[in-house]
Amino acid sequence: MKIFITSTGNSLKSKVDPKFGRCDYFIIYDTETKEFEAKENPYKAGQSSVGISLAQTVIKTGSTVAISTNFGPNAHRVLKEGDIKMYKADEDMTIEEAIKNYLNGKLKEVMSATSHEQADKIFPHHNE
Amino acid sequence: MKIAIASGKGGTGKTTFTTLFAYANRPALYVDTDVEEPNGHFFLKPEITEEKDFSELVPEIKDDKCTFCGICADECPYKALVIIKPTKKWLFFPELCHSCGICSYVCPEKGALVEVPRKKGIIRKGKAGDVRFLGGLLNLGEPTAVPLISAVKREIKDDEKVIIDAPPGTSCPVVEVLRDVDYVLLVSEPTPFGIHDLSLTVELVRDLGKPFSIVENKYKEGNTSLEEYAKKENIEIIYRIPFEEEIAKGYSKGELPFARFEQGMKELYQKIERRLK
Repeated sequence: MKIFITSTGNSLKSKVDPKFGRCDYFIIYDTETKEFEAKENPYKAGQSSVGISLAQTVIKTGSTVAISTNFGPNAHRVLKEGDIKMYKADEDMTIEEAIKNYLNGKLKEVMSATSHEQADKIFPHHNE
Repeated sequence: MKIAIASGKGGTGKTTFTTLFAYANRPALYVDTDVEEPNGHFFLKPEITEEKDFSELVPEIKDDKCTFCGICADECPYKALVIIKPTKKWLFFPELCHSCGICSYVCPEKGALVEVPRKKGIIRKGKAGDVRFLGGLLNLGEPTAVPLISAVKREIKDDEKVIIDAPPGTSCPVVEVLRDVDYVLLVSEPTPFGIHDLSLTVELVRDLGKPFSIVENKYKEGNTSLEEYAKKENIEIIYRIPFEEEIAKGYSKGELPFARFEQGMKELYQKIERRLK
């Protein structure tokens, strides 16, 4: 099974990126081979629809779980319809810790999206 | 003759000037193309005689015919369509759709993706005495005002005195309004912000090759900042509205001093008309 995690860097020691659509990198971890692949998020600086685009990437990579801190409303809708389970990792967690916590059942499932209003508070400059 | 009133910065007095100008030159057609926040009707108070829906085509996918190949979603430049192959689901985000039609063009399955009309706003017509009124009102959250502005423009008959209230800014909606007018009046105010945004609009109007002049609103003796800008750029300040509390008070109640500016604005129209002959 493949786990998709938003990351601030390209290694397992990197911290989780708290923004799903506009994360710097994403890491796909394969629980069977224990190997991972890190990629730069091509939509990071896109004008709009970045959450939708990255959610489609999750599905296309064959991942069945997505880990981040905040999923926007559009991304959440796409992932939900794609039967991708979303889990919340705190932003000071490393990728390694997030994977470990997920496998030990310690991450909380994300049932609702981070609204625009909430995002304005968490990331005051995210629209600039 | 078609005269558009633009500004760059919002709140400089476009609508104040445009409604006074249309009234002074009645019979005339007043057109509100600021479809995202029209306000000319607050002052002209037209009796609305006709209202019609403005719709555009958006995709609808037929589950029984769609193979979920995903070509439509891949080709959508606005990511308004999402096809999820593994779960055989499709999602449509209407607020992202620009009704470009690419999805239906590229769909390889006959009848799987059909285009259906979706209401995006309304077009209103009316009259306020001898001033005929035409305007658009876009639904909240629509991604672009341009198609509705084009539709409003199609309602204009060429042989009239047409006075067009343009949207603020210097982007696509303004370009759509200014591209086929005969003359542009740029309403500005003598403030640093006003002059800055005016300079952007001047650049735009020059690019479009339209003859234009400045209308100085909130004019106050002693404040020469706008005058200096106009001189430097060799643009004429063709009309002035003074900075007066009474005008602002009236505006806040939807009342404008129509009679007071009637003569001056009539002469202004004639001046522009002579210039274009």
